[in-house]
Amino acid sequence: MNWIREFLSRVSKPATSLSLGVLTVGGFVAGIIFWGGFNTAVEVTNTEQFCIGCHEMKTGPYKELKQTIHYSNRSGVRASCPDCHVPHEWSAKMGRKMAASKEVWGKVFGTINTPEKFEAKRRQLAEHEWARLKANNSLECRNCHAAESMDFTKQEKRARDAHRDFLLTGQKTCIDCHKGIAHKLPSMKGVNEWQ
Amino acid sequence: MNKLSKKSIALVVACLSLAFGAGCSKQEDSSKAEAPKQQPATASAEVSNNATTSAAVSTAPAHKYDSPAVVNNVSSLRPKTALDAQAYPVEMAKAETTDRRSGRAYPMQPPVIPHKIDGYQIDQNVNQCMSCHGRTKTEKSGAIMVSVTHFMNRDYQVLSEISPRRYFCTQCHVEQKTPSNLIENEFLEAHQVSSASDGGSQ
Repeated sequence: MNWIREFLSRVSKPATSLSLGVLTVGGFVAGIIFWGGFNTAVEVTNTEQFCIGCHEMKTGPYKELKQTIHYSNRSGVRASCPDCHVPHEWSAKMGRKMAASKEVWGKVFGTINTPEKFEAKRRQLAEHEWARLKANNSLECRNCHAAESMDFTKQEKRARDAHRDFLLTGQKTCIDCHKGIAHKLPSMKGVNEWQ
Repeated sequence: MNKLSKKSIALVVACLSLAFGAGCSKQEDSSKAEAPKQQPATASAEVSNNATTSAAVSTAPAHKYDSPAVVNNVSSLRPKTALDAQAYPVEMAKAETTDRRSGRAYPMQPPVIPHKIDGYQIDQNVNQCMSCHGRTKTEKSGAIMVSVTHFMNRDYQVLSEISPRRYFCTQCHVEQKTPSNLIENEFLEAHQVSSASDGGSQ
């Protein structure tokens, strides 16, 4: 307890021997280092390699993603985990990262560490993502798929009609119709528009 | 004793070699004599084989490692491809996406799917086909409702949703594709068969 009191008294007093230049320049440099380090660390957690570092993700959602068009397609553009699951905008990204501390909890206590446990929680986890994408108007989808850039003439008639009637009018957002495009669907009993 | 035994062994070896040699020469003689007799017999067998089986048997391999497509009516997984060559598969046909109903080749034919079904999930959790073709979905989706026969269980009792035994759509329904390597066939529809037996009159 004594050393805490001493530390506080020292911190609360002005520096006696350090010059103002050292303090400002030193603080600036240290700020760059810490801020850069923080952002770098956040970006490391924002990679697919980080996500599939846990077997829960690698053997479950990632394996399912590999069979979909968002992993392998004619043009070779692919979406990785954070492209859809982490907002690109900074403050929203930080919010998502803080919410993701629950996922660390899940990892530590093994809430989905077997396929059976994952299957049992699939509906709940999916509903979280549906709610998130519904709330932000499918922001992560629209980072790549902008309605303004869609050439409706190149779409199948079914898709064209649906996009014209529901996307352009703003009646629905991407996730309303495009559930389960990157992962297997849970039981859809009771989900609006499904059986 | 030693001398005697050595002599006797030498004798036995000599006798054996003589006898063996004679036998061999005899065999050679007989094979030479029989060979001309056998040849016509095998040739006639081949001719009759060609007459009865498909022409693939008679096509001569172009390469010394080429195996004919069908040997003794057994088709190989690697027909007519040399061991040191790589065969190129025919181009994969794409699913037709006309969104229009196509005709049926015979009365009980399950209708083909006129759109892509890539990644459609049909499992214990969900049947994605039913999200448009289900009874309660067709009004919004504009899709065709699955036939009411699919609502019946095996006792012909009509259920409110598709019967579990009709759950897996792709067991019967497939995308329409037109591959380039279609095999010719002589399929006739029922009405064509009857008109053919009538002498062509409809």
